[in-house]
Amino acid sequence: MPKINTETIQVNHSNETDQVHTWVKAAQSGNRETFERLANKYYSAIFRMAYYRTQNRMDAEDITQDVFIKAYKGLRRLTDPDHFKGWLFQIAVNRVRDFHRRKKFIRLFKSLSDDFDDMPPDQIESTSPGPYELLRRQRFQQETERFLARLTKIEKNIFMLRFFDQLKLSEIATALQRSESTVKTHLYRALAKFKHDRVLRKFLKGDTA
Amino acid sequence: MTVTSDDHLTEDQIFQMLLDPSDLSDNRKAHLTACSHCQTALDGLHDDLNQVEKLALETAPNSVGSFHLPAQQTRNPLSFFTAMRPLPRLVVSALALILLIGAVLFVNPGQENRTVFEIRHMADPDQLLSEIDALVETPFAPEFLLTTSVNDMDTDEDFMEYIVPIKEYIVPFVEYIVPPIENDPITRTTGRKGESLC
Repeated sequence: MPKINTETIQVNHSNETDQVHTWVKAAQSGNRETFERLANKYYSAIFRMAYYRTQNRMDAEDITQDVFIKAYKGLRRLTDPDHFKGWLFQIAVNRVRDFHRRKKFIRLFKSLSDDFDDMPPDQIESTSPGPYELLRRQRFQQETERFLARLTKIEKNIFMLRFFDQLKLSEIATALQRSESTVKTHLYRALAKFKHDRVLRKFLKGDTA
Repeated sequence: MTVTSDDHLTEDQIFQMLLDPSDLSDNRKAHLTACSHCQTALDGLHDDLNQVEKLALETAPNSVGSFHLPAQQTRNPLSFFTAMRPLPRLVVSALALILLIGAVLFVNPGQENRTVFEIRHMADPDQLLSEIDALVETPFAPEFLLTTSVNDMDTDEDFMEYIVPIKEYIVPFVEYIVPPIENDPITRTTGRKGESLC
């Protein structure tokens, strides 16, 4: 296993946690500016989370804005400021679920001719990658989609929150309102499927080479 | 340390080591440092998952937006209602609707129905007694009296005696017209079957 300087990471993490704790307390007492600072700290994480699940930049931006508006309105209900990140992802998970429900409902009444939702996912990238890079990313999307389709709904949710959104187990537990042991159980099952998915792992290994 | 294949970490133990090493016993951790087989399995999985994290980050576009709260507005008096959770909001709405219906039915006198109006007036004892007195004096509806002209008729005692004769006056008059028949089997009271003649 790669050697990491865990001491430095723990100190940094502790400082960050303290800072978030202070900011959340200030925002709860009505400091709008602090809330905006807090929101912008997690903005890109929530945006990415929404993007992975919608595959559409505009929808992801809308969802992200909505998540922070909801968070601001409900901030006083957050009892433990240390759970802020998990709580924020909980709002995001619910918002994404609402988005998919609404999309499914709209599709029922929409003719195929004006169905913009069937357009392929965004291929926009600000750094304009070369064709090889683009191909690699496309392949990654295809392979992960295929792998995630093999997981149950809860396994998929937990796997994505852990490895796409890089949440800790305790944060995933808060986001999904489950116990940490339940999260672990489902994550182990997802990892077992990942471990035996030779195609995906071969692609990932080939990519690193 | 001697390592046998039976001692190798199970799949779950490798996952434990990946996700939460504190869950794994010291004995198992010691095995991991000594066993190249388990170490390779763990490293392979660790690298692949790291690669998933890295590629996921690269695949997502960079967000150009940032968050700014909308300008503060004057406090909406109904903001407590909009901030409520859906279930309490539904309960409050239902109660408000019930109160509204109640208000329409019972509070607004211009709209109350005839029965409610009459019941409310009957509840006043003075009003009730005066209505009963009026009924005793004139048992007929005013419309009836007007149509039949009964109101103009002289309804003193003589007139009433004429209409409903008193028994003392009528019996001699009837006996004068129709004298009683002696030994009439219908009217006689003596000699009926079962009665003693003694």
